[in-house]
Amino acid sequence: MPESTTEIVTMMTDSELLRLADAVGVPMPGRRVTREWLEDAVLEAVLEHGMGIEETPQTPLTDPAIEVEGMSKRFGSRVAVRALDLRVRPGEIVTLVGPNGAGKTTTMRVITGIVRQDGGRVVVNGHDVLREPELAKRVVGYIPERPACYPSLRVHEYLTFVARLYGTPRVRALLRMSWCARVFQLEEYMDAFMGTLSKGNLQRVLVASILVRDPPFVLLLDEPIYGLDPRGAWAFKNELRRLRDGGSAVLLSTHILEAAEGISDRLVVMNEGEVVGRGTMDELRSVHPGATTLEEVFLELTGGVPRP
Amino acid sequence: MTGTRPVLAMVVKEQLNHLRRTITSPALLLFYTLTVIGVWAVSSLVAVLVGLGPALGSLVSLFEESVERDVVFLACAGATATSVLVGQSGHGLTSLLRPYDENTLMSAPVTPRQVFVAGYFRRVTRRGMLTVLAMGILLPLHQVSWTAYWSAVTVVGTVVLLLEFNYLLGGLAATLRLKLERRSTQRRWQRAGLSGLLIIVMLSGSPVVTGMRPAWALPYNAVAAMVLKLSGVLTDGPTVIETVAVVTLGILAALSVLAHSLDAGFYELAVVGRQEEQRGGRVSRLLRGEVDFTRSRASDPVVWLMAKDFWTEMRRPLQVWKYIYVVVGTALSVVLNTTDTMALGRVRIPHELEYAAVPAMVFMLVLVVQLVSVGSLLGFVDERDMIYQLRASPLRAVDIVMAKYIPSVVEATLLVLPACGMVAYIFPVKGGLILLSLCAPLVIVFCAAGTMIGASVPVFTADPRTPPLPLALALPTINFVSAGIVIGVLVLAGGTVLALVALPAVTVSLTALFLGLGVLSLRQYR
Ligand SMILES: Nc1ncnc2c1ncn2[C@@H]1O[C@H](COP(=O)(O)OP(=O)(O)OP(=O)(O)O)[C@@H](O)[C@H]1O
Ligand SMILES: [Mg+2]
Repeated sequence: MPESTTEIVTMMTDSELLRLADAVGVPMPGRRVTREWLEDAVLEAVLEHGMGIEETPQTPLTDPAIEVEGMSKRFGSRVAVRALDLRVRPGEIVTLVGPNGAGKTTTMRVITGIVRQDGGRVVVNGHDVLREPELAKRVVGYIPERPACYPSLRVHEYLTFVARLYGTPRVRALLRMSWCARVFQLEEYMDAFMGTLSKGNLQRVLVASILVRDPPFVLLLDEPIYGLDPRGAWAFKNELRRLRDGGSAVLLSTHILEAAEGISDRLVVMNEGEVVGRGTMDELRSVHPGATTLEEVFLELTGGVPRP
Repeated sequence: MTGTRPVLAMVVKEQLNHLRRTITSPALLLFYTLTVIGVWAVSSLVAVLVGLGPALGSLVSLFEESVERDVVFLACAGATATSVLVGQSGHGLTSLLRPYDENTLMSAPVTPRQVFVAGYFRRVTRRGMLTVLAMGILLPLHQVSWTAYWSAVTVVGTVVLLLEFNYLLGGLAATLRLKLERRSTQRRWQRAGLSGLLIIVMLSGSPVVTGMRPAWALPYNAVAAMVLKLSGVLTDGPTVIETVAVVTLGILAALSVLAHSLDAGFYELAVVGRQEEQRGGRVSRLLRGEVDFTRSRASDPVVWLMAKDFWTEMRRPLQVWKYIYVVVGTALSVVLNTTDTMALGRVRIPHELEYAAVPAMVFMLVLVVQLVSVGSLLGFVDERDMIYQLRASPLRAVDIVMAKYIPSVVEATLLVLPACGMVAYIFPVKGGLILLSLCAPLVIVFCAAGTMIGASVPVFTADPRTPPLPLALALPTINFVSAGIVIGVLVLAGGTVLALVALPAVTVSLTALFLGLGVLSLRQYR
């Protein structure tokens, strides 16, 4: 978090502050307490419990954080991914690009352990996804292609639930929740049922549901920018950079090439289940000297630039 | 590793919120209330009928006397075997997972077992609430006698439990199949394993085995024996407590084996589905609905819509069996009715009771038509979110409604044929054929009611995938009332020529009313 615990507490809404007071066990002496008194009392209790944002235990990811070796996946007779090699190190944002049906979603699903590969090895944070799925998933934050959520849960209930699922202490989760609500403009939706959220707001909630947990993460984000408005996309990209700098590993897929260009450290271009190009932006450009933009590189790699 | 507690707590919260949202939404609440009142009224009516006419009561006991012991045992075992057959495809099992579990639970550090437990808990709470509702609705039966009420409740309760056991067994068959598939065993072995399981179930319900009491420790046999004891066929059947205990033990055993045998294959099945080999000759491809219906030469968009519905319907698993059932069932009932054998199952009606058989038969017919016309509700629900696209197309609302209505009438007509044959066989009433012709107006009206409700689902909810429960429950109420009107008109008109005019008139008006309302709600989508 770029802000300190103190800043978050002072900017909390009243109901958030009361919830936090309850969580840290601040006794309420009477019906009338001033906001300042409560803020001070809560802050003191939070720091006393060692639950401030700054006191998050630091357990770095193993290097590489994602390691995929010779992974293949078939659907019936159709090969979705063929002998894929992929490595994402902590502190790195790698973007998968490729035409529709290239195998990006399938790759993400295999890495999260939702779909079982036919061959090859997938290791996340040092744990083989097939052999120790729960250990591997501890650090995974996944946003699927088609975000959906429990329609009958309220946003704050969902975020609390996710924090519990990953064993994040409640106090720290509440602090981060309040911060996320502000940064992603979710304040007015915290009490709304998730079934009533718009697509973009739902996506923000899913992003927030990862951020309430203790970092670092192995993020697997399937087209996360699609559906966010410019402000949301901007906040999201900032957040990704910050997480990367904090030691998280990010693998994302997108069709928005400018976005990919802006935030990726490396790109992996897939086509029909195979990797057809990889490297930094400059490396890709140097291999295809005729192409000036990422769009043209992409077209070169995946079937040629159509000539009108 | 995370414990199961938070997962369960979340499901509980979700269910409670869901309930609260239903209760606090006026439209849904209204529908709930109307439905409960309606079903309660019907249930009271039945109670009064049973209470007033001891003749009807004795008819019921007559029916019970003619029930064959072996048939009941075989039927229960058959139900279990069918569930195994249906369940092995995995559709039942994966219905526990929602699309939104993909980003929350499947990718979280919880085991597939915990995810299963959460999904199963969700299922059980919903089922439980429905069962309690059903038992409450049966309450007017106590006017006949409390014994009657309690036996009805017991039967409903144990049958629900048995269905749960069957469901879990089907889930087990699915996980077994997943494991076999992963070992890339040949399909021959998978088939052999499945057939073996089915044969074991059927054998254990066969007369030779059920003659021995230890066989009653199997849940389906226990339920059969209990039902037989309640109807007085068996004198030494298991008590209710014993039956419930046996079935519950069966459920717990199946549940724990299933929970422990699940792995991530469960997720894959839910998220990407099963990858079937697309093979087979022309006929089997036709039966599986693998037909390029876009090559149809029809130019009318409504015909198109119907063709699309038909072929996509055929692509569902087990759809073929529906049509096989129609052909075989119709043939069987024709044979039974024409060759005058007094085989098992036929009610021998004493002369003095014949008048009571007519209402009983009509009631049966209404129930049967009710069952076969449920499909009309699904025509719209199956479109899911595409319904908005359809609505935005240049098709007229009337055309859309008709395109859903006509095929549902055709299908209900097909499905009702064998059932009618069986009813005619079971109740050899004089003039029974005339009564059977009552099915025609009933099918026409019930399908219209179903289409209306299907069309109004998106008016009540922003999520056309899941019709609110009360809407679905409203269908039987509306149907019973319409049946009452149709039959009332028929009775009023008597056997006169008037009936020839009145019956079509009332049928057409009811149908037009329902379809018109359907068109109206289609125009009101948010
Ligand atoms: N459930 C499935 N059954 C059969 N084939 C599938 C299934 N899911 C994916 N495929 C196939 O696997 C291949 C890769 O699909 P995938 O969804 O991974 O592509 P993608 O790169 O994510 O595409 P998009 O950019 O459109 O999201 C495609 O050819 C697709 O048809
Ligand atoms: Mg994709």
